[in-house]
Amino acid sequence: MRTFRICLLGSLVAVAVPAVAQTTGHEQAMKVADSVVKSFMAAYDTRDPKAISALFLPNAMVLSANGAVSLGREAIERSYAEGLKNLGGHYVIVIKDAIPLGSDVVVATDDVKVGGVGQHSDGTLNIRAVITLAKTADGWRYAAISAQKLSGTGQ
Amino acid sequence: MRTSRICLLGTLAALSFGPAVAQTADSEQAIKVTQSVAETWMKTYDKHDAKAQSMLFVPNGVFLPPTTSVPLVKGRDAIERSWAGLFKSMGGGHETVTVRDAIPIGNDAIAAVNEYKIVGDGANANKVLTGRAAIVLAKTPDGWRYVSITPQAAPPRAAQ
Repeated sequence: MRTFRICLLGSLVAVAVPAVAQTTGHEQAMKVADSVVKSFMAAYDTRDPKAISALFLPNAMVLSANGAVSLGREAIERSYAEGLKNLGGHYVIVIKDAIPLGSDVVVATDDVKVGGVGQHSDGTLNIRAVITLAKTADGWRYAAISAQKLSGTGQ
Repeated sequence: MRTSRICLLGTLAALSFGPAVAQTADSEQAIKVTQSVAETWMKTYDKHDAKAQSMLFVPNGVFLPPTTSVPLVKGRDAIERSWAGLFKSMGGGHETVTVRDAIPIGNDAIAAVNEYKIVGDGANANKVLTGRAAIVLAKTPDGWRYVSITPQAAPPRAAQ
């Protein structure tokens, strides 16, 4: 009977764990998004497309500001390799808002400035984007990015 | 001992089947879900019902107008106003949406890319807006709803 009770408790705990972890609040979602974009900025500054793509889910999706769609880490790595080669520059990303979807997904909006781009490193690219983040065993990762190039922007 | 084994099985089932059974399937399933939401979207568009359009979003959903000089639109009321404005400028019209790719994100979210075409009505019949959009959907008690839509407009052209 005692074994049965312990096991029943075990089962209940197993069922309840997702509920306990659920609903990250808005503030927490902002923190998560802020932390991930900081990792992105640091990875971009290393000029290492592999390090950048490692921040994405294996099947992540990116609609870039130039209209290209990249599906999967390898395609995303190639896209950023091209960006590093042709654009260069330095990212500054500011999270504007974040929406938690349950405990494992966050959707956030951000403003992006890519400074020091172009042939003479004097251009600035202004972008706004929606980023979707997923919680994984390795931490939070980009599941999707959709970007829009803002009017009046250089490059 | 037998009870212990049954309980262990129960615990394992609770740990593994719960999330696994509920998991949103693969990309194909995600495309089906997304296209189904898009069908509802197209129906509400054809009724030129901005309120119904806005109700297809979660309450704090966001829409990034393709004209990037226009600020981001957040919340159902603002989205309703935004679409009412579009219906006015297009004289109503008709929208077609085709989902190109979709990925499930956990059990309750999907990211997708679609292509859209809006053709105006009446005096605006020569107006055509085309482009692609990235969307994020969330599963809610009321069904799947848009969390965000980020369209990118193709250059304007006349109707064929």
